[in-house]
Amino acid sequence: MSLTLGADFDEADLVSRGTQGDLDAFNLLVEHYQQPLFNLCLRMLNSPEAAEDATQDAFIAAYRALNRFRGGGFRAWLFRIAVNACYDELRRRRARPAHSLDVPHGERGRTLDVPNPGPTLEEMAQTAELGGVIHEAVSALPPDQRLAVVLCDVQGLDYAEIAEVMGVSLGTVKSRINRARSRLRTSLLQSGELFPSRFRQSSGDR
Amino acid sequence: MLWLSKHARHRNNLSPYVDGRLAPVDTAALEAHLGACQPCRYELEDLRATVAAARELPQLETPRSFAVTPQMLERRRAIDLAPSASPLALGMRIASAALAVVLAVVVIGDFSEGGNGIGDGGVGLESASESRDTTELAAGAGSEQASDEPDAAAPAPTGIGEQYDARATDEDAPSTPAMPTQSASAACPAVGDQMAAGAGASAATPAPNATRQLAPSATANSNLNSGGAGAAGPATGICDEKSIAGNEDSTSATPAAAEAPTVAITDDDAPDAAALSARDDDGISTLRVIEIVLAGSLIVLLVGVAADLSLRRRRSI
Repeated sequence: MSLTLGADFDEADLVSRGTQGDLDAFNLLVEHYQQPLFNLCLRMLNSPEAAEDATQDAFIAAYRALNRFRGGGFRAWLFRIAVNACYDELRRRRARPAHSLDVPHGERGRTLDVPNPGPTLEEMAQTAELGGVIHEAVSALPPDQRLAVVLCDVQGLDYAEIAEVMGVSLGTVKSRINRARSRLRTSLLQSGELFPSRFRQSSGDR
Repeated sequence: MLWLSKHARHRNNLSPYVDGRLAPVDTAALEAHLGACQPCRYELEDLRATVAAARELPQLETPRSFAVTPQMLERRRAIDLAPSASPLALGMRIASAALAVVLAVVVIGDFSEGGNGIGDGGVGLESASESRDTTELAAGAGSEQASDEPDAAAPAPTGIGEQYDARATDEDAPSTPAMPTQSASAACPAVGDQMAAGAGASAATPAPNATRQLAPSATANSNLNSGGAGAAGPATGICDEKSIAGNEDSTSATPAAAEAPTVAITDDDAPDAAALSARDDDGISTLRVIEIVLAGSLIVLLVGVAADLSLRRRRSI
């Protein structure tokens, strides 16, 4: 278990050992992928608690489905399971009308009593920890676009891998990233985070 | 117009360009365009700034280790079995379990009446009255479409029950009697789900069981197939409750258990007078009709439950 990640990390070997029921081998994979997976779930669900659950569920589901893994990219396969877990959670939230899609846990329930309570200190701290304005902008994207931009820009997957994770074509990946970035840009501009380059440019020119 | 569409196409290429994912030909074309088009250059700058901001999103440390433990695998099994389905799916499951029980009771009535229910009257009476009582319950829960012969009822639940894994409920099996028949061995391991519980119950309860004490479903089954007929009314009620309650232990909180006691109580409390009149009306043909309706509804419900299960199984990879 104390194997350090990196040079010794032989993914294919660990996967095949895990397939044979070697839980310790599988847990080395868990150790390797838990941070990106948790962060992916966190961006998708906007709640550390829900992200924890989804991550754990994803690893358990992956272990149980390991014998159905047919080669290819293990990371993409694993991410896809986590993404499914996230979509399940989002669906559950939608089924419970009282909980809006993307409101963080801490805010739930109170919004009914007070129309606009404003963020608490704790929530502001949490938002800052998650990345401030850009975090808010990403959170406001529809799930498909958010997933595309998170996989691409936050997780650094290439288009083909993203297509694999999302189960869509390359063209769809491109257009989702396109639309996501365009919306992000708009909200960053609106929040004043991004100073329009034409103004920067023109003021610099003159 | 031509310029506009070309312009739009170039704009769409900006994002892959930033990622270095644009084909060389397109890259050359885009760069040529950028040299001539200032709005597009601004657009590119904004885009680059946006992507840079997104890339700066912090990666948080994991709050704990997500290593999978054997306990989690066990717990997960329990969660999978628990009724986390949608209200509709849940309703279908409860309804099919309840229907299966009701059908079983009706079939008993039919059997004991058609196959000379050893004159002690109570057999046919109680079953008949129960069928009346509980048909209302079933009608509330399920859709009604009669389609099959009454005989098809018994094979159908058993067959579907077999599709489900025999999970966790092997505890039921040890009580299998010395003379296990085909249907007994098929039905008992299949008791794993509430639906399968219903199936198991329906296969099991037609057996009029002489011993009132916690009759295991397998025993009941073999009695049925050997054509045994006893004084059965109250005993079957207990048999139902037992087989489902036992199931509940292993799957944790099946709503079927909530239904079962109701049925059992109806069974026990059935007033003799009402029961008597029920039989006197026109015994067998009424029962047949009820059986057909029940069996049809049960089949429809089971198909619905099976569809829901396969749907969810596929979604969870």
